[in-house]
Amino acid sequence: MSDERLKGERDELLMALIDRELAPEQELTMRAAIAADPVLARKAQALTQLSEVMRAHQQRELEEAQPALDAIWHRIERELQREAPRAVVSDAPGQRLRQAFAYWLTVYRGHLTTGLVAGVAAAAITAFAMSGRQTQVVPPAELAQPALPTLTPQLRLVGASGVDVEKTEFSNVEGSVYLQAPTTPGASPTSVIWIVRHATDCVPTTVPLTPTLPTNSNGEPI
Amino acid sequence: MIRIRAIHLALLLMGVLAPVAAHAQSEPPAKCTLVEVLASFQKPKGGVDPKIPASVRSSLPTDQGDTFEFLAQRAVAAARGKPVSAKLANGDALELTYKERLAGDGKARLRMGVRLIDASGRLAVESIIVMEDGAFVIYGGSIHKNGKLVVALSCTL
Repeated sequence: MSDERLKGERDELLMALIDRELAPEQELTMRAAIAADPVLARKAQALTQLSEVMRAHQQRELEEAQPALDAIWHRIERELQREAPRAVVSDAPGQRLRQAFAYWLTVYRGHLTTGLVAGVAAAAITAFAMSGRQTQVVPPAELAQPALPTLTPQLRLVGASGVDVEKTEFSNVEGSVYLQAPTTPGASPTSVIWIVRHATDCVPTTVPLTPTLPTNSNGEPI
Repeated sequence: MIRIRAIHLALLLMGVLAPVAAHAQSEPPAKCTLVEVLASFQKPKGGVDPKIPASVRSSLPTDQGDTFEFLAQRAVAAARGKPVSAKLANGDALELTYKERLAGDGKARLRMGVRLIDASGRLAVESIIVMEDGAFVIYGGSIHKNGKLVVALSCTL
């Protein structure tokens, strides 16, 4: 083993000693070597002083940065306290339930919104896919204004009615396009293009998406 | 030379267009049926007038009334591309235009332009529908007497 290599290993051990990273046996060996070698002792002293200078510099930087760090932490804590809703506990069971639900709603509103958006998107896709069997309705406005032309969006009803409404435009009136459920069992629904002139007009009903079950005189399903 | 070419071109156009025109003229008109019904809410309920054809009865908009009175029934022939107007009981007019016959699987399907024009001449509804032979579409909502006018429209070739 060459002298240069021995010197290199000894310097590494010396730095490890100053950083207190040596095992006890190695530390004793190195301290004995420093005591026996004046050159090594001076080198150890110089490295110790350098290490202390570096540590002091880091400490000073940390102290100078501390107020800024504290301010950041305070701001984060304030934000957390403001955003985190407090669950107010009430003695009334119903009120407690409502409060718990409101707390849950507030905490998970982000997830809820995401779920709602996904649900609406899924419903839209489903409605598009099933457009041949469903009803499209243009709800009439609360107050019709006959003086103003009212154009509805382009509607297309393709249903079991045997009539495909490719285009409908209402002018000067408000109106609806919908499928009328048949009044006799087994008959097909009918496409209806209905003018709504006044706010007192009925809003046309649409074909129910779920079939209505027959009921007895008490209103219970048979 | 130019005059001869013009004559040739005219003959060619006549040769192409004449059969088309002849075909359009020979094509049978769409035969449409209009059934007018007055829908209203009455106490006691008047029910459905037995004069209303059975095929229309099941198509009545029962959410627009509990009493359905038969008003009129008429046949209207609509030649292709030529609007034909039918005066309704309340003074409105239903204008029908037979646009084309669509190739279907079995039943004839007609593309019709339907315009509803109110008594004062203003356009209220403009629509394009494709109807299967025998199918009904309901146009309604115009005020008439104490209720709303319901027009059941059906077309066939």
